[in-house]
Amino acid sequence: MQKVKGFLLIGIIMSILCSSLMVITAAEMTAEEIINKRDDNEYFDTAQMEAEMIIASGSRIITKTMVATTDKKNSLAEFTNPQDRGTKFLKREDDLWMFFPDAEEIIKISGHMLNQGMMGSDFSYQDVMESDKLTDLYDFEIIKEEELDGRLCYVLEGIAKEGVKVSYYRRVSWVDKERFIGLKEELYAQSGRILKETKVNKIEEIEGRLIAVDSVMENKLRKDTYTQFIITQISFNPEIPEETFSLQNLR
Amino acid sequence: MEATKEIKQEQTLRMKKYFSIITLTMMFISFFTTTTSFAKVDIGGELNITLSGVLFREGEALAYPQGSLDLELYIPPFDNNQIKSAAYLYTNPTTGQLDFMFKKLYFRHKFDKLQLTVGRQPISWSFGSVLNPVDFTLGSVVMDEETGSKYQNAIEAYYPINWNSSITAIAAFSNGFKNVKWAIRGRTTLTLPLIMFGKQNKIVQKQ
Repeated sequence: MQKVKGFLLIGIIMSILCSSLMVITAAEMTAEEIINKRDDNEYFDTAQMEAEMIIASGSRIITKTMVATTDKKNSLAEFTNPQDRGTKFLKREDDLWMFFPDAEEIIKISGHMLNQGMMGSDFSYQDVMESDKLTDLYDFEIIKEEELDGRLCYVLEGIAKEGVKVSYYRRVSWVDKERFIGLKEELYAQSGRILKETKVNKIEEIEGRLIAVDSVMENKLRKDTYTQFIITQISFNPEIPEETFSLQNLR
Repeated sequence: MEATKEIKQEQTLRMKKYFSIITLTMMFISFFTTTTSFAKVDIGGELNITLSGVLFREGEALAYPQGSLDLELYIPPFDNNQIKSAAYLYTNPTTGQLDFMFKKLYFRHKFDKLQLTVGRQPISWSFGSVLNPVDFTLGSVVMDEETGSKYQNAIEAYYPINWNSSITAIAAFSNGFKNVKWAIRGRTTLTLPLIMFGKQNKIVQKQ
């Protein structure tokens, strides 16, 4: 009888120990795993979307509308608001072309021009160009956990990998612990100066994915400016004709 | 001599008129034989008014207003067709009178492997080529400024070879249809378009 009691006690202790180990293991996600889970949400094979870009500078507010088709490496965007109607952008891998509807000319945007704001917004052409997964560009580590707008978040710091060309040397990202979606991001230069900050205002579940449909980008180098990007419609995995991402389609 | 001059002028005006009529007719036929949403047709523009002042050395001052209106009629593309119409009204700085010109008045049809554009359209012969270093310094926005001569009556055939290469053949009529200038322009991945200017042929008027 005493032997049975002994075995029972050992069994109970072992169960408790195993359970604790499982809990500890589950809680200890690595930074890379967190970012990969976030990327699973935010990266898609193909998509078509309609969006609105609200550019605010002081009291002046300009609204631009656009339609875009995108796959993993390429995208074609056309502005549809009357003032910019016909302005198109084509991204092919690491190259960006722009079509000017007045002159009816296509130019390649490269070099220092990539750092300029796209259509006067706080998103630079270089921001638009980034399509590689963040884990390929940065080394991430978890620095803390923090509550943001009522959501518990992992706060991760990413430092650019050596030899990789990136727009921002350092990134600090707030990733929702439960939904694995980015809620806020601070972008820094190598000097340590904060350059930009993005914050998500609204998240929606669309076709099984959690998408940030309303986000705001602030350029910290300029006063009283921000750009709000609102996705009004999005569909995933549409069939995209082969010749979509071509200079011919910019005309 | 004077009579010959008058006849030539009359013939030039007639040719200009015929070209515009043909272009407009093609536009109307395509527009009305296909279904299109009239609700999406849009008209808009940009009005600019400036007050310029001139101060002469003798102490005299002169001020005069200048105005310009960019007017565009937007017709959405339909059935591989595109119609563009843009007019520019302005006060002539020398005469002070109101003047206007069509910046764009063309019809474009996209065939399977060819795009044909007929009518008044912007043509930049050396834009983006190594012949014009301004393209790489000031950028195309500067090139877009009002230079009038950019907009010409022309026929353009655009043939895409692959996603980033193309050949364009252009025949442009200038000086009231007296001259025709033609060129073939190639574009490749190196973004070094090769432009060959053809001969400027004078259209000989038979008397």
